Amino acid sequence: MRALLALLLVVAAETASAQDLQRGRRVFTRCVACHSLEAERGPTPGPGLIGVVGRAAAALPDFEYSPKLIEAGRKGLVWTEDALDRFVADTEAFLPGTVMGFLSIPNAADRRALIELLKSVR
Amino acid sequence: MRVVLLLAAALLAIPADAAPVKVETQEFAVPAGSGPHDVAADPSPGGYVWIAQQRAGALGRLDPRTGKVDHIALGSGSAPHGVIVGPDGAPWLTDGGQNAIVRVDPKTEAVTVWRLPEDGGYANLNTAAFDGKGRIWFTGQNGIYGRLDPASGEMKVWDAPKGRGPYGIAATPKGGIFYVSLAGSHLAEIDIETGEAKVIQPPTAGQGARRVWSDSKGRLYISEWNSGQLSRYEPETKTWKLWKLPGARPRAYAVYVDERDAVWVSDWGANAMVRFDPETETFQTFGNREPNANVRQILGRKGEVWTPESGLDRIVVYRFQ
Repeated sequence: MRALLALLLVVAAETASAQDLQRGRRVFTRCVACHSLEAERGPTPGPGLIGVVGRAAAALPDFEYSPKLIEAGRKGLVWTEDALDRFVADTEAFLPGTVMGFLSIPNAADRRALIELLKSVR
Repeated sequence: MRVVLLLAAALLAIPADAAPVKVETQEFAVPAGSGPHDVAADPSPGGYVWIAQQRAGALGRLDPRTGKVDHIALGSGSAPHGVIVGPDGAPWLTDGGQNAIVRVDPKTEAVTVWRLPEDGGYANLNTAAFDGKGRIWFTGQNGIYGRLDPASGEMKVWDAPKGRGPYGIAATPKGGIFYVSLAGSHLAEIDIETGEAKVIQPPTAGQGARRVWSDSKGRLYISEWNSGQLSRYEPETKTWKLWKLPGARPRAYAVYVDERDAVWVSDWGANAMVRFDPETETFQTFGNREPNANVRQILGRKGEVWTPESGLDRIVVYRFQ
């Protein structure tokens, strides 16, 4: 019985994760004009987001970041899950003056799903 | 409000054989954090200047005579990107937050919202322009462009020929409609009857076109972000001309052509406004007073060029004679 319960919990967790990713993909339509989750995509207006979770800000050597992001990276900003969550909640409140400008994803579950999606691409 | 004479600084930036234009600037503060993205000045002298306040979800109304800024809420979830003044004298907005085209009646302040079809999803609306037949055309960075006929309410949306990227859009004096693609690095001409968009490849691959504007002859000027160039396409001859902006690493964001066919460009690399004289092919640079002005769009009226300094929460007008 315990084994069955554990199995059900695992299945539930995996199902939730799949739902998160699906929701994350839907939320990512807010980002897709400038960012890519594909390695073989051509030049994009914003940096590629593969492996962004846990990466230092302005760390990709082949992307020309804005002075504000470079400054933030120098000061030690790392795109942790918490930092990403606060950033996409209100980009201008978290880090004003970037080229990206204003984006707000007000729904916490949407932000969570987006971050799960970003975590899934490495 | 603050008035600054910029002639002295400008004189240092132009060749000796070109006559500098005398320019005065005036600054208007907008509420901190409201996010002034685009502006549109009513054509009448001294008239209101409309502001797309993206972060506030509102339309700002600046009275240049007093410096007072009012706000008109546009609806739940609103985040307007662009604003233009239509042939009806009303401000029209591309509202990314509502995924809609929005009109505000300048007298009653009534807000009318035309939402994009739901099955098309989030368009990431960018900019709009009216053709000569009273219809408003718009771009969506997620890979669409569209047309709204306000008289009938009919809205049509097309997939852009090369996918994501449609950004700035402009009308020529004859009513032609062109847009540029940032992600796709090209210019496109729209057949305003069939809706078909034809891609026009620029000479510089990956130039990163952000905005486009027409001069009085229908020639299209394009601000190229990645290349740092100002380019011009002549539809009649199908020819291009390119000019690199001054400075070590120019980044051309917005472009506008004034009533004398002088071209104004915001250069984020130099944190400056740049005026280009097509006759002498010379640049005149006006450095922004503080770092990080981040001018994302330019629009004007006779004798005035208006700029939203999105990074500094203020509007600056350049007045010239």
